[in-house]
Amino acid sequence: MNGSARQISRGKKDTLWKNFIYSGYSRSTTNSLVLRQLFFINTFSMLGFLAVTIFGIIHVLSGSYHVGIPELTGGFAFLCNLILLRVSKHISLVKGIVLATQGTLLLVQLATGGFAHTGIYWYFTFPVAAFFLMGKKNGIIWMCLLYVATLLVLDLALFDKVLIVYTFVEIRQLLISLFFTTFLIYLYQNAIEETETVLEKEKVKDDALLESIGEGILAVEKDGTISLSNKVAVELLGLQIDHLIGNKFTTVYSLLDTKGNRIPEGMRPINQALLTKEKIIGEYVVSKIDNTTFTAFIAASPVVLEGKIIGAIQLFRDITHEKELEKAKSEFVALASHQLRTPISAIAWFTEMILHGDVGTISAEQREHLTLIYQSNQRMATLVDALLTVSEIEMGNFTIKPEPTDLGALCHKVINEEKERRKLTKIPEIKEIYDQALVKISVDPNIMKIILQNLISNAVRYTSEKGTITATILPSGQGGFDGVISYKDGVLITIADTGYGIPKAQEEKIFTKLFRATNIKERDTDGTGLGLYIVRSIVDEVGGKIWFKSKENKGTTFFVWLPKIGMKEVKGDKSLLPAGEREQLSQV
Amino acid sequence: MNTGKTVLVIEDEKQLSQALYTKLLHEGFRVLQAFDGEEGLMLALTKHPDLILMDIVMPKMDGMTVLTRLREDQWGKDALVIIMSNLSDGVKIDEGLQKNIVGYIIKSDWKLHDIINKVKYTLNIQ
Repeated sequence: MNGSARQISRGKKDTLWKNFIYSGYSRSTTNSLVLRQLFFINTFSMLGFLAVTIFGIIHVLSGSYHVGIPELTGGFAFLCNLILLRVSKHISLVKGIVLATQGTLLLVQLATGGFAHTGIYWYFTFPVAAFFLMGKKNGIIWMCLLYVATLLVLDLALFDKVLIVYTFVEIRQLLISLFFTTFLIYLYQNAIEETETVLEKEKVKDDALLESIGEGILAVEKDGTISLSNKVAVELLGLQIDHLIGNKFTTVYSLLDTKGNRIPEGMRPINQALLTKEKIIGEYVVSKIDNTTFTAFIAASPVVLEGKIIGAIQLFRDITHEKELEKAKSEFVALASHQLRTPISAIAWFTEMILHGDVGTISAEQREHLTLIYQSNQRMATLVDALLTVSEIEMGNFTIKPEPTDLGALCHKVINEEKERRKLTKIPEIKEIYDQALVKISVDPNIMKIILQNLISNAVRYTSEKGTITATILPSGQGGFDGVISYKDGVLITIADTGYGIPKAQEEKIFTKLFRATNIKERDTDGTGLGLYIVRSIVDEVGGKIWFKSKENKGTTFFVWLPKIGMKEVKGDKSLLPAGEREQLSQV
Repeated sequence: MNTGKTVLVIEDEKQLSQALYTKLLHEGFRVLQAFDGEEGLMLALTKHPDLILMDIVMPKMDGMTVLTRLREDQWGKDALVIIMSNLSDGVKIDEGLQKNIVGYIIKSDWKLHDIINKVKYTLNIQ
């Protein structure tokens, strides 16, 4: 795909209409209050111009010049204001002219009586306009000006300079009710402004928060339109902020998986979060407009209001550097463990020769000590092997070679091997339940064996000899395990024990590399702390799910779910081999 | 007990080679030692051992190249070869199997005793 040809389209469809109702100001301000005021002034001036001019013409034609001429003057003032609105950037001047024109027309209405002597009713439009356009403080000043002007006109009437058609009672009631109206609108405006101040403060805080977060943020509406973003996001995506806001997020960057395959729109984290209502987390490769890429950690969460999804928020950060470090570390571990194997082999072989009596007879005590050396060396070999497996998994280039596999038979074999390995110690009873309907599933038997070996050996090690272990393999959705996420269309493997369990506080860490729960550390010093980490990494890699439930001193159940289609084939440059499998390979 | 059979050990790690040498000698084999691939190939082609135990990662010439060159030779194409490595590397195993090796050993997983058994089994010695 040609990135440079990908144009960013700005939402222009309603610009004309916006331009009309906001008199061209919509580009220069995004403040919604100012926009609303502009809308008000524009509409008010247009209606005022039309109404007053039409009435003015009618009055002039019917000979009522004392009404018609001021009306035509007012209409002209509104017209000037409409023009001013479009050429001037001084919004406050425009506001003032609107109010002054309106006020003047009200005084004319007072003096002339207006249509059928109902002109003073229009007085009540003034406080609404004054407070709305000028705010609570200036609104009061404008109201005072109107009162003063009104009193001046009334004074002129006293001296018979003008003729007022209203009675004294009418005027008195007008001034009193206008006062109450003003007071109530003042209270209303006051409340609004207080709320706005609070909102403004919150907004300033939110903005500061957004900018201070080290991660890129994209907030999108339900339809995928970006409504909010921050500086980091802008920098990461290599765009301007107005390229982001108002555009569909799918148009501003594309997403690849860590292997470089393009992720379809529907599978992108934001869309998945919108669809599933769940938080989606993962590592992806972001492909920018200019076709450069970076590895990103992405977390997308749905935004839910009263049970309905109204949008989603995505956090993302560039982890290219972290990945490089991680890779360098894995390569180092791989190299180191590889180098460690030679001396381990040498120690094992020479110790073995002495134990075997190849270099002369040895005493019982010497044998005992040499056996301990041999066993310790074997432990070291196991640890080095596990480290090598971990680094190979972390470098992510291992081969997955699926073939139709009888999972039940494989699990049975693993259990028998475990029994054989521990034939000198007493181990708990192991029950096996396999669904015959699931004869073959397409998985890599070696990888599957690593998973089963680790889970079964853990269960055996961390259960007292009086306990029970149950290995179950069933189509998922059956089996009736409570509290378990049900993944449909797949296979559910459960390894349940009645053993020591995992302490509640450490449940979160159980899949962490080199972590060993405190309650088993004392019982068993042999563990590497890598088994479950390896299992989890492999299960993730092959598209499965793993989880568990546990209660201390009651037991633990591990669940592994695999999709019905099994594992996908991957051609890597390393193969993972389970313990014990290597010997068999060499029997060919 | 002399088996009358000759085993060529091609292994660049001196200690491992030493262990194999001593053990094989104890078990009644004649043992030839080579410490890199080139030397190993030369010894194999001139001395025609009954069995070759060979490492993969070696200086001068790696085990896979030695194997390829060996298979080009009139005698070498049917020579019995067991590959030994520290690599748990499935790709290499597949590659070796295609070149008709009789076995593959991951050194750190195998006891010396098992290797001897494997050698004896391959050479039909009880």
